[in-house]
Amino acid sequence: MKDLMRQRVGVQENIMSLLNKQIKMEAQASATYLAMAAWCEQNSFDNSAAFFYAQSNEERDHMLKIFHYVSEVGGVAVSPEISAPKSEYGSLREVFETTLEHEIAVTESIHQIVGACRKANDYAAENFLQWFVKEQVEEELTVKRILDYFEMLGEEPMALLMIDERVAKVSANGAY
Amino acid sequence: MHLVHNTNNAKIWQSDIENCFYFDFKGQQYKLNVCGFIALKTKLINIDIEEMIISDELGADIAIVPLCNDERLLVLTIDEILELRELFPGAMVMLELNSILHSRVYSSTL
Ligand SMILES: [Fe+2]
Ligand SMILES: [Fe+2]
Repeated sequence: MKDLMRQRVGVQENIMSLLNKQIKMEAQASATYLAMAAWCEQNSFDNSAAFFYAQSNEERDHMLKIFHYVSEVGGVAVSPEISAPKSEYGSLREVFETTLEHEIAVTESIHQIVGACRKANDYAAENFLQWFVKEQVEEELTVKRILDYFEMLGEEPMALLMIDERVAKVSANGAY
Repeated sequence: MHLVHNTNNAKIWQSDIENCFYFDFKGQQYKLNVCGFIALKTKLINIDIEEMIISDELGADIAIVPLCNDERLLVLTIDEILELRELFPGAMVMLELNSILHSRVYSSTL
């Protein structure tokens, strides 16, 4: 009997389903960051709003990257169902703290999939995911940097304005 | 044609000539390509059986599953879904076993 599965599908089923879950996670992050951008704009944190619009786009790009990979190796990529993101926040700091929590969850998830790829001897998928491993280091660093400003400057109105100014620089230069 | 897996009322075959699967169920035969096979298996797993049992809406006790790019439909009762949920993953295991056999026996260079 031919190995039809292997001939048509270059990815094992469990890896494919993990990648589809990651597609959903990236899409959910994109929606969450869009809601955060709206919140920032409503509260006149214009640079933070711009930061989250850009993040939202990035997350969608991440989603598409995985989507294309799954399709290219002959798998079935699933356009995910997204639940309504949280749109109410108590403070700008809470917005960024939530962002860091999200990014950490994504990092963990990516690492778990890399682990599963190793177990399944799927070197192609592991190699594909290396880009995400690196990306997550940068993403976490950027948000941690911004949260440091809250530690340093506090949350008085003037401080918040300064932090918002800083966010523009962080997003323009990366974390450095 | 190779029989991949069967349950009481259903069978999955693989055709090496046509590079596809055949799915026999309730006197009907459905042709599935590899993608269609995986898609159907996923759809079966995603059916919310609990919801079907709890709901008292008319028609909630059946599920309609589109097949072959919507050209055909499967109308399934809860019993049938449970049977197919045994058939498809079982077939998948056999296909994975076949993949292992291929990589160990035919493709191995060690
Ligand atoms: Fe991402
Ligand atoms: Fe991210």
